Amino acid sequence: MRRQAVDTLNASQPTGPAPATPDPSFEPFYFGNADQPLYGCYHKPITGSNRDCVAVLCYPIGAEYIRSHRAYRHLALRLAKAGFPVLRFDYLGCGDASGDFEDGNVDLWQRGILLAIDEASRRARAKSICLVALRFGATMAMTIGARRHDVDGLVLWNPVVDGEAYIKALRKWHRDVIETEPRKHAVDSDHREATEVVGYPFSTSLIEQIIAAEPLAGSRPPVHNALLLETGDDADAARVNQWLNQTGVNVTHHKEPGPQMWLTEPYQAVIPHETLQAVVAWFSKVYA
Amino acid sequence: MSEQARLLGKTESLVGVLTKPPSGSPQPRVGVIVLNAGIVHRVGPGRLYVKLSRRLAAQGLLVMRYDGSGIGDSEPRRDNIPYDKATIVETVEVMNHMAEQHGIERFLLVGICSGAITSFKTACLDQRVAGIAMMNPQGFYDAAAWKTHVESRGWAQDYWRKLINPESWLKALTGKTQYRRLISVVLYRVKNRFKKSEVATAVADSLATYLSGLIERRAGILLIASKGDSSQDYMSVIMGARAKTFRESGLLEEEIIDGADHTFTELVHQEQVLKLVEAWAARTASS
Repeated sequence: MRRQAVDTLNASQPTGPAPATPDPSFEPFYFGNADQPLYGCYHKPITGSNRDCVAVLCYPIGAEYIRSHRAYRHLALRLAKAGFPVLRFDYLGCGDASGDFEDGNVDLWQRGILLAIDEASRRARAKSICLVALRFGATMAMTIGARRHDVDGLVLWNPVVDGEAYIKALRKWHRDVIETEPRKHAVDSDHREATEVVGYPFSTSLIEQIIAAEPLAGSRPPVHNALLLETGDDADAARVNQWLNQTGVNVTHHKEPGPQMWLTEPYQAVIPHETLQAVVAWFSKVYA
Repeated sequence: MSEQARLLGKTESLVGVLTKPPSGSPQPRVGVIVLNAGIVHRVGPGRLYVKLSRRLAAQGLLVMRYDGSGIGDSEPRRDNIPYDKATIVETVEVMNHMAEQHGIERFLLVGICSGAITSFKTACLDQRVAGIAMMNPQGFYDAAAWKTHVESRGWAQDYWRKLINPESWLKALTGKTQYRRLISVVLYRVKNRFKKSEVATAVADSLATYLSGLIERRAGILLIASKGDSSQDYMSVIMGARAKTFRESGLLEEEIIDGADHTFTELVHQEQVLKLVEAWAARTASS
């Protein structure tokens, strides 16, 4: 029987035409303190009409970061295409930034947001700054918005406002991902104890900081303009909407049915097109 | 140890992070390239690739983790080279960059899942690759007949083991067994009992020949599999009758990590992977 030959490396396939010339519309770089550098990716506006607002994209933390990275890049590209300069960055101990996740804490991560704002302002020289933030990134962004008078707008995507509920949900998520068979024990451990969440170590002090975070404290408006994004059912969205309205923020609320891509396995990644479009539309309207 | 962002490839549209050994270290001659696990960007599942890059750099190796086109921060390609060829082309471009900019002469390629496949294929085509660390490699070749053959064989062996396990019978009787999969495996095995799949045989032969070529040129191969992962089935079919020869060469190291999932999510399994790759890289780089 003549044996069938198979080119398993596709070595005989042609390499195709010459590739296009380089397109330097984005720049990856390290910034911040020399001993604790953060990683950033700056997207220059692509269209001729550069808008006078720079977007600083603040990721969620832990495993939610990995799962939302793709959507965040798509958002940055769409905003840049609409004329807005964009900076995405990694907090200390996260992504490509220096340090280990165990080194990170809420204070250091908020300092990272401040450094990112300074870096984005320096590069873009825009009149307005808007933070676009997801989950606990949004929690931190609300605190920064209240402190920094140069932050004009916030895009808050399923922000975490109940730290205890968030920690409990993270623990459950870890169990659901890791345990293919339900364990026999029924007693839940103290939710403030150090724990691992889908490959990330959450120390006791980090958990305490998350639980202690009070993004809805204060009666002054954190910013002038806000877009509240709600993907799926989010028990906290109504509280955030109410608080933003009460403090006099000009708020738009956009809701989509889901999926919550920050919880989705990477191989099932979905780009939430409608939500991203809503962000670009809001930016284009508010910062015309 | 320092990290620098880089734009790589002929179009400078691939984003990488170069991790350099501590200052004062001897000039590295061996470079490591860490390849995307599926569409997870270059930090790796659970940030495993960042940890690995830093540990290997601490050993004196120059390490690049980068995003293939269309993954992570890298732009999609603007030509019509298919994905499975593009991954090899791009890895070679990164190797060229490290050779030209940093004098690297030999390379170790490391990856999980599709990253493992890319490392294998690139090694087969580029003699500068001195070793590959493959973690849970699956597929190897895109043909339905090949994948069905390997995975049905794996499931059949799995069900055979479960036949003698009382808990499995309880699952079957209480409706917890995946009946559809069980039926498809039984039908496949009956249908193919007297007829070996020609495609599967040809693919296995081809891959075994390439594997043999790597061993003949003394490339080190580390294979790490999560227990029960179908990568074990793929390697078993590929190595086939030559498995004993490969293992006796001293160049093929196999490690099974009990309880780990496909991407080594849990910290305890990440640490096991890190230690195994660190030790293997130290041995292979100095050989």
